[in-house]
Amino acid sequence: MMIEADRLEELLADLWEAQHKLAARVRRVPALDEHLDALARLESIATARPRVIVLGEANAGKTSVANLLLDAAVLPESVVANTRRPLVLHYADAVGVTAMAGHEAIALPIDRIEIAPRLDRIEVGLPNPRLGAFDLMDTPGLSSLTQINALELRSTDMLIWCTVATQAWKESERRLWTSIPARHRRDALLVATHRDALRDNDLRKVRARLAAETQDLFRGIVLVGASGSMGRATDMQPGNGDGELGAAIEKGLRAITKRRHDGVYRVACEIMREAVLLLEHGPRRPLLRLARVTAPSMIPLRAT
Amino acid sequence: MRGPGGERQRILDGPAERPVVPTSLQLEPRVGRSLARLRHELIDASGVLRGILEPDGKGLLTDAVGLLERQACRVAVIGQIKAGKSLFINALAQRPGLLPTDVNPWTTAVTHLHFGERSEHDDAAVFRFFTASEWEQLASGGGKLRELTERLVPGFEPDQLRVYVSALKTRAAARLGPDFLRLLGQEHRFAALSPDILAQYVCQGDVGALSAAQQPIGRYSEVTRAADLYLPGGPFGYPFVVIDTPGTNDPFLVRDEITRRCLESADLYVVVLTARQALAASDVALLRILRGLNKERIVVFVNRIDELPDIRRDTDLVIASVRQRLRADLPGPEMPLIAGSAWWGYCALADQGAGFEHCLDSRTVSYLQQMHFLRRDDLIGPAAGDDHARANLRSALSAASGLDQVYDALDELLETSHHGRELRQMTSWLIEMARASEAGSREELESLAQRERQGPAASITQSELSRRRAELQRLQEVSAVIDSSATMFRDRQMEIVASELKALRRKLLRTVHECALIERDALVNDLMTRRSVRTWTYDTDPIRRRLSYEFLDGFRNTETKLMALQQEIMPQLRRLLALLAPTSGSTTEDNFMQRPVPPPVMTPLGATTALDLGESWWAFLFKARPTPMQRGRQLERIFKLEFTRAVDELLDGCQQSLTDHVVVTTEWSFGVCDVIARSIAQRRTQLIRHYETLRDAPADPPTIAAQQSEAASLEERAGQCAALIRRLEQIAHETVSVVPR
Repeated sequence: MMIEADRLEELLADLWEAQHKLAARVRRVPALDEHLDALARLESIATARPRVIVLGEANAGKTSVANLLLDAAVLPESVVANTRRPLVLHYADAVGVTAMAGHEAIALPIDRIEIAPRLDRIEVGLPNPRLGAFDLMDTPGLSSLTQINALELRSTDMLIWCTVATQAWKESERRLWTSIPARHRRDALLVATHRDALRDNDLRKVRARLAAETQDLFRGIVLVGASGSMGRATDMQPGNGDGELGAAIEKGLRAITKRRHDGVYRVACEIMREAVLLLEHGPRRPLLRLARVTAPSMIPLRAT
Repeated sequence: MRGPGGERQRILDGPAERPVVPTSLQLEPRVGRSLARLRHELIDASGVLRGILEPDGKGLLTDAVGLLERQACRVAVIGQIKAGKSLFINALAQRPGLLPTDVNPWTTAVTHLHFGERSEHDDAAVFRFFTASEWEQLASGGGKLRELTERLVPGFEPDQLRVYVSALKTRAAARLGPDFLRLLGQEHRFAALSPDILAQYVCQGDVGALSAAQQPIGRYSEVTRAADLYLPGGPFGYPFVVIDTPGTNDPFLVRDEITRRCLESADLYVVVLTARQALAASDVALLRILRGLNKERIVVFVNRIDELPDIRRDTDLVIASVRQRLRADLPGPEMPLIAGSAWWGYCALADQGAGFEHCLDSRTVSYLQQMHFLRRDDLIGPAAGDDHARANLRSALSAASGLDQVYDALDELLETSHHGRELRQMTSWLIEMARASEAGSREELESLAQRERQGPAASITQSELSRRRAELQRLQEVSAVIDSSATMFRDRQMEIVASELKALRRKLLRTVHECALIERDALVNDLMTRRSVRTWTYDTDPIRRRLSYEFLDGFRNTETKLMALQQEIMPQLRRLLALLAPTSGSTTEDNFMQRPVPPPVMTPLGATTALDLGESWWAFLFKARPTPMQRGRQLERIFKLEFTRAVDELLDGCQQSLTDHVVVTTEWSFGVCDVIARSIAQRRTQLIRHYETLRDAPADPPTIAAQQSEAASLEERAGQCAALIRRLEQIAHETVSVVPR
């Protein structure tokens, strides 16, 4: 899955050029350093990797969906609540596990993940080709509103809400989901799992009800047959919604990336315009609150 | 743990011993047999006693019979939407296809299934529509919720409700025509029940095909409020009402509220969970509310184990995890926890051909074999259409479904429920009355014999007559004592109720006040530190939990005090009874006449409050209040308003039910003594009158034959009473021995 690689190249080239131009000025204006920093931060925002975050209530099939996305039964699935802390999977040439306690990273031997005390998050590097385009985060089952704040969502996140097809979209789910700020929900997907428990006619009915009851809350609805059977990755045949899910995610990520690139471009223009004003008219009250350009939460960033 | 399995295994030992019809298909009642017998005997005994007793006692006995005949155990089947409640009820009632099942939540109606109970007009089904005012409330925006939001923030209309409500109106008009409003307040009655009829009232029908106004399915579903279906007893020996609820945790808030409202009225609860998501947070919340009602009356059924990937292993995992969480979240005595599959129960019952072959995927078959419900060679027969093999398969599915354990659990709970206790208590009352009557008869016989010894006319001496008069005087005094003690007993109980509940109310309101301040400060703090709080929602679970613990604490205190007073009064009552009839009360058990306090109704604490409304509501609320302090104060205000109301409702209900309890307890315990006193007094009055006639008209002394016939009738009465006592004591003994104290 390639995300508008050409546009990113172009954007980066523009950013480099802008930085280069500012840095190359003969007359050194101290106030311009701030602008240079901001441009550098923009660069890291532009290249930040998107995250796909799988959310849902306990035993909604989140881990199954994560495995479906990885095209392999990487994570252990269970019929009882199993995932205890957020697990971030990213691409690496060799398997490596890092436990995060606060901002402190601890390298862990792979067989000792679960005994590590008081961890906020576990990061796992995997040589899985599916992780080329995004990082994947599997989360423990949500049950209270406070857990949502603890997720520290970013603008580059694509959210997937998992629900069990046979009992889909309950009030508690609606309440949890709508408590997530709307800006994070713009490109989200509703994934109904275990669809194999439904017959064809029922599938249609469930889909119709979900569409009616979740109007405006999701960009799309996908029913998948994440088999729920532990270690039986072979059950994920085409037609289980795998392809549909992949396509929907690709579409969502593209929208997120496009919005981010547009944002970066817009802010970069503002910075350059201000830098030019600064050079021509001397230091004045800054037009832009540059301090707010911090990676990677840049969607709320607006010129004031 | 009660997993499916265990004893059923033995059926498979030898082919000759296997029943052709699975156990659960046999039509003998599975639940409430012993209580049904007790009830039957009591109605009988009341009839006999009514024939024996003096006219004064008959009113109380007529009441007793009425009470006994009206008794029915109400079982509410509850759980989250789409937990498989309707299929479970069909399987439990052994009537596959009785309630319609659908993949989407289907109805706002609450369905009552009356087993072994006749309706007023002998109808098989009665469907009640919303009344005009109920519909108006519903159609103008979801009843209480609308009222909540209106009261607190005029002008705010929750989007969620608006969408549902307008859909509801549109559907009703599309299906019933524009003049559907005239149906409101009516009821439709049917002499016979068929699935087609039921489908018209309680099915949602196909939401997509609304234009077809002629489509009968779901025709009346929008306006139907309640359905009452009257069925033969089936597996229920005792009269049962099984209540099918729309389900909790429903985004259609109106349905959710209807479900909560019917929680109060049930005696027993079956909480249906799905194995895939057993005991979600909202299930725990529901169980907390129910436990407030009385934990010993809940059965937890983990349904749909047939959907688990590796049924045997995963069922064990799920049960262990549910058990562990129940222990952690709801400490105290454990509730019966049963795993099973209503679908298997359904398949075992389904007609030939249709049904159970669907169940036989590889996972199910290997589970049935692992659990020894089925042998390998059992699988060859069904394919070939072998009846015997099919029966084996049905038997295996039925055993694996877990329904047998549900019957057993319900049976046990029924025994220890309010019904069981009431029946046992009525038994001891009837025994007391019979004893008094027997003692009275024997005494008269004694005096008759004495008279006979002294010769006919000489017997009625003036001293005898005055002795009798003095006795009557004493009886009347005792009656007066009973009256005044009853009043005192009632007043002292009322005092306890009033003062305890007053203190409890004060305590709960203080808690509400405290929490409101804490929440206000927390919000203000939050708003000050986090710069842009655009969205905010509030979790009301902790406050509800705290209030319910405090309430239960206070309630138990009140209960203990009431029981202590009863304990104190009992010996006095016993002495009174001994005064009246010397042999009475000698062998009765200690808890004689003690009446259990009914469990409290906790639903007001579970009702949706404005604080539970979503993000957009808070955004609307806070829009006009820019500063953190103002917002904090607004929260405090709403918090206090909502929970003060809940506390008031809770305590008002509690006061009402305790007052009723006090009145009935006083009436009955003293009433029994009073009846005994009055009936003895009445006999004495008759006797004295008789003596007086004899004295005044000695010309006609009673013949030997008349005396003999009088003696014989007294003898017969005493004998009848003695027989009745023996029978009742025997039954009381049998039923008590079943029940663990």
